[in-house]
Parts: sequence; C-alpha cells; structure tokens
Amino acid sequence: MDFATLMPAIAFMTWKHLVMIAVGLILIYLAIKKGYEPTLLLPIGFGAILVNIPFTAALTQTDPAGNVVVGALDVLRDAGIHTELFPLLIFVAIGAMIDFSPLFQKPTLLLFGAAAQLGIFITMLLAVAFGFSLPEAASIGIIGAADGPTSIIVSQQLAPQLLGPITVAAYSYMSLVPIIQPPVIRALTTKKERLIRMKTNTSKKVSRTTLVLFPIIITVLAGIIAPSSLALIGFLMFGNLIRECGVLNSLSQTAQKELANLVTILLGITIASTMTANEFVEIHTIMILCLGVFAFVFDTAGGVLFAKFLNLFYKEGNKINPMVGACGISAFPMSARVIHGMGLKEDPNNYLLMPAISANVGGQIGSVIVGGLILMLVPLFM
Amino acid sequence: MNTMDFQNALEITGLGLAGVFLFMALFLAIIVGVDKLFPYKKEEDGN
Repeated sequence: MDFATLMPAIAFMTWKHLVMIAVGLILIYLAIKKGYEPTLLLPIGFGAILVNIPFTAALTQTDPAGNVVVGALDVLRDAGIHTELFPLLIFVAIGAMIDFSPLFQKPTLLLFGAAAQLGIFITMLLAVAFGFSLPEAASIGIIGAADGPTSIIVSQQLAPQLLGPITVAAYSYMSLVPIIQPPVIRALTTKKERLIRMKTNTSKKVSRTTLVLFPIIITVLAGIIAPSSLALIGFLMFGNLIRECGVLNSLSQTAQKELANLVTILLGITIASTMTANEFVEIHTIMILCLGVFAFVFDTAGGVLFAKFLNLFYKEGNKINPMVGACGISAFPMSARVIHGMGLKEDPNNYLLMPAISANVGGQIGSVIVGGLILMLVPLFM
Repeated sequence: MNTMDFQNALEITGLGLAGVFLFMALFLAIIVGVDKLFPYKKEEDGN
C-alpha cells in the first residue's frame, strides 16, 4: 500500500490548501483576539479549515468505488444559501432588533441611507473596469452595503462563484469600520465642520400605531415599486412588525436571540463551504478584497459629501455635522458609535449619537433597497 | 475592459442611485405622514 492510499489528506495537500488553512486561522485569530465580528468570522474561519483538508467528508466526495457521498456542508449550502433561506431568516432577526423610532426624531437623516450607498455603484464601475462581468461587478459592489445578508443574496443570485470572497470581505470590512471611516471623514471635512452641533428632539415619542404601520406600508410600497426587493425588505419588516406589534414579545425575543444565534452559526460555517482552495486562491479574490475597501471608502465619502451639499441650503444653527453622513451605511450600530466617538474627540460636549443612530438606521433600510434594486436592474442589462 | 458592460454599469449607477433616493424620499414622506396622522398620545405611557 503506497503513502497516497494510506494518508490521502497529506499526499494530496497543496500549497493552496495550506494558504486556505492559514486564512482560516487568521480569521479565527481576528475573531477571538481582535473581536472582529466573531459570530461570523469564527465559524467562517473554522469552516475554511474544515473544507480545505483534502477529501474532507464535510463536502461531497466520490469514494474509490465511485459512489457519491454527500457532505453535510453541501447539504446546508443547498438548503440555506442556494434557497436564500439563511440570510432571509437573519433579516427576520435583524428586523426584530431594529428600533425605527430614531428615524422619527429627524426623518431627513433617512436620506443618508441613500447617499452612503454611492460606494456600491462606484465599486461596480471599478470592477467592470478591472474586467469583471456586470453581474460579478454588481455583486462585488454590494460589499459596500456593509450588510452581510444582502451581500449573500445578491452574489448568490448574480455571481455564486464569488460568494465566498464577497461574504468574507463584507463581514471583515464591517468590523473594520472604526479603521476605515475616520481617515476618510477627516480628509473630507474641516475642523469647523466636525464641530457642528446638531439639534435633536430626544423627547419626541412615536405612537405604537405609527410603529406598527411603518413596516406594513414600507413592505407594500417596496413590493409595488420593486417586487424583486420584496424578499429582502419583506423579511426585515416582518421581523420589525413582530417587535412592534406588542402582542408577540416572546416571538420577538426568540427572533432577536435564538433565531439570530442559530442561523448565524449555520450561516458562517456554510459560507465557508465556498472557500475551497481551488475556488478561493485566485487573483480575483485579492481584487475583490481590495475593491471591497473602495466600496466602504466611497460609501463614507458619499454620506459626508451629501451632508456638505445639504448644508449649502441649511441656515446656521440647523446645519448637519457632515460626520453624521458617514453613518448612512448599514453597519449598525458600529458606524454611529464611531461617529459619536469622533464627535466627542473634537468637542467633549458634542453628542452626535442620536442623529448618528438615525442615519445608521436609514443605512440599514438603504442597503436592503439597493440590494433589491441591483437584483432588479442588472438582469435587465444582461 | 468590456465597454458595453461599462456603459451598462453607468446606466445602472444612475438608475440605482435615483431609485434609492426615490425610495428614501417616499419613506421620508411616509414617516412624516404617518407620524402626523397618528401622533403619540399621553395615554400610551400606561401601555
């Protein structure tokens, strides 16, 4: 009996497998030591190791007799990713976690949820310029949504071959918001602008009827205008309706905790099933990771520049602190916290948390809408 | 670079950005409208 028959995993291990195992270890390190999105990066990192040991039984293999032995991760991928079930269930959980009432304090901040999606489109253009096809470029651009489930759904539909690197980039960069956003904001704003104080009406309360009607109206409206966005926005709003209706507190708590935790465990390790050496160790993976940074940078710039544009029309005393514009991305509440911290650094008495949270909630809606729009528009141009 | 793809991407960029702003403007109008129609009443504090 030769060595390859006795120890096939070692005999068939290539440098690409070793690179992927190293990537898995790095992701686990970042999750544990640095606290970067540990709920996802740890399962993804472990999964990357699991699927990169040659002949792993976690993936479907053909045995020496020619029989196909189905792997558990392939079963999960077929059931949860190809059907989009896992990301949609995550949306139910996220919907149950979101409190939309900050939007009612200063509704105009919702518009930053649109402006800060600029990076998605700029990155899509860049990706096309670098030779990616249109569906691939759109999927890469959606990294800028700073919204993992939306990235998964869009790339699963438009470029499933890029699902692994796009998901890893989306979740990794979400955790790097405190590193990516501040230098971009500082480069685009003056000290005077960063010192702007914003009036907030924190005492304003919102009626329960309003909070119950909001997810229903948004769902109907999104369905009429862009039916392709309905799965995304509908599941998000369903989760929010459970939260706000006031009669399903137990379900709301379950959605926020047990459902979110269970699906997150399965989602992370299932995503890792796409990170096999042959598919992942390619030059396009490095390009996707680089383009993902651009997406976040241009998102931040879009929000900040839009705030500066609006300030041209606002009178002194009503101006918007441009840093708040950067919160129009979906990374909630991380982006709002970062901007609040930056505000306090400039002026220890300038509390930007409330407007930042409002813009950040707008970003959560905006990213889902853009995901739906891309799913609607790209096929029209293919 | 595929120039046709780039042109299409430019169109998608225009339509996408216009679309997301339109959506958000509509949501903004809904928020303001619903909030006006169903304002918060003090009695809700007891709930």
